[in-house]
Parts: sequence; C-alpha cells; structure tokens
Amino acid sequence: MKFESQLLKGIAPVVVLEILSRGPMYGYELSQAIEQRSGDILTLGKGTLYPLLYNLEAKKLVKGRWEKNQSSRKRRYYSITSKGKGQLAKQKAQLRELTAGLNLVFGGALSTA
Amino acid sequence: MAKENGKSDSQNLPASIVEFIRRILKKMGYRRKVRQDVQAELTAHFEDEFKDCKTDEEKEQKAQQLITDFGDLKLLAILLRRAKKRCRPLWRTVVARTFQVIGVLILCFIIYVIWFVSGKPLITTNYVAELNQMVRPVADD
Repeated sequence: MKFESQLLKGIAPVVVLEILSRGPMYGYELSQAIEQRSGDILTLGKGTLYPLLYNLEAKKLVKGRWEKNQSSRKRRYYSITSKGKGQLAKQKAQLRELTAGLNLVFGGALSTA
Repeated sequence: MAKENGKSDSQNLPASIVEFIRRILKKMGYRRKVRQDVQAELTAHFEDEFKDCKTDEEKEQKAQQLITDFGDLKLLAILLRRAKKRCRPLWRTVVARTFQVIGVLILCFIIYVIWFVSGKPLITTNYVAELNQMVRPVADD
C-alpha cells in the first residue's frame, strides 16, 4: 500500500528507532528489516532512508560507525543511543494514545480492520 | 573508505548506478569527506541490492528499478546535503557562519567602494555663497 507521505513522515523515525533498538544494522539491512517485520506493508522509500538516518544521527538518536561485516565488506552500522531509546519510549507512548483515541473515534474499527 | 571517483568499490555495479551515484554527489556538493562517506554508503547499499543478480541483463533491469525507487535525484541530493549539514559539530557551524558573515561584509565594502569611486560630486548647497551672504554688511537706511 502506498501511504500518504505526511502520514509516513511521522511514523518513519519511530519505525527506524524501533528496528534499531533490536540491534545495530546498516542501511540496506534496515530497509529489508522494515519490510519484513511490517509484512511488506511499510516500505520506506530508498531515497528517504539515508536522509532520515542522517537526521536521526544529527539529533544524536542513532550513532553510525563503519565496520566490516561477515563478508569483510565495509558497512556503516547504525545503533540506537540512550537518547534514542528515551525518544522511542516517548513516541511509542504517544502512538499508543493516538491509536486508542483513533479506535474510539472509529468505534474499534481500526483494530479489527 | 571509497574514493570519490568510486573505482575501487563500484567496479561490480552497473554503469547507470555508478553514474547515478556520481550525479547525486555532484548535486549534493558540500565537503569532500562527507561526499566520500555518502558515496561509500550508497555504493555498499547498491552492492547489497545486486548481490542476488546473476546476469548483466538482470542487473541492468534492477538498476533501472532502483533508480526509480530512489526518486528525484535533485531532491535526494538536497535532502542528503541538508541532513549531513545538521550532523556537523557546533564549532564547525560557528566557523562556517563566521566566514559567511565576513564574506557578506567584504561584499558590502566592495559595493560601497565601487559606489564611492564611481560617483561624481554634486553640489547641492553653495556654502561659500551662504557664508558670504551672512557676513555681507547690511546698509542701515
């Protein structure tokens, strides 16, 4: 499904932080993980991913470092920082409240649809 | 780290992708080291994307699809540049802003000097005549 860009704009950083909270990943791995874990519903545009990661890095929510992977290729691994974890918890709480509110508005239709 | 010409890391990539990365970096501008970082990261990303492709035809098809997926090249370059600029430390921002202010001041000074040198004096008030008028004796009738 193609989501409205404004809708995805607010969700994308939370999704990236959530995925990174499970372990460090590089760009390609991260985009694959988002697709897999969302059951191919969420697909972050390739052109959006790297600017998003750099923005999160600028806010010190994630930290990037060059490392060699198993195939001795150099990849830039991103990991969540403690500030990022705090931000993630805050945003998750907000999302929960938002979902609860939306469910009330839609009469629970959002959770059952 | 990959060199900016990308020959070391991007030999296995299709020419269209190498050209795509080169154009992004060209549009992105900014510091050389940052561009090298972005290039290395994008090259690594594309290498991973192509790891399952066996034939050149397959690679070329995938390349076209990836270029479409990445969207508007100019917008991507702007977003990358903006995001990388946000990553720079405070001292670097201060240095950059200081140089910008100095540049603007020099430009203002140059414009002022050009205006000053090219202008011609225009006498609007004849102060000598006014002074003479003031000291001219007035006859008492």
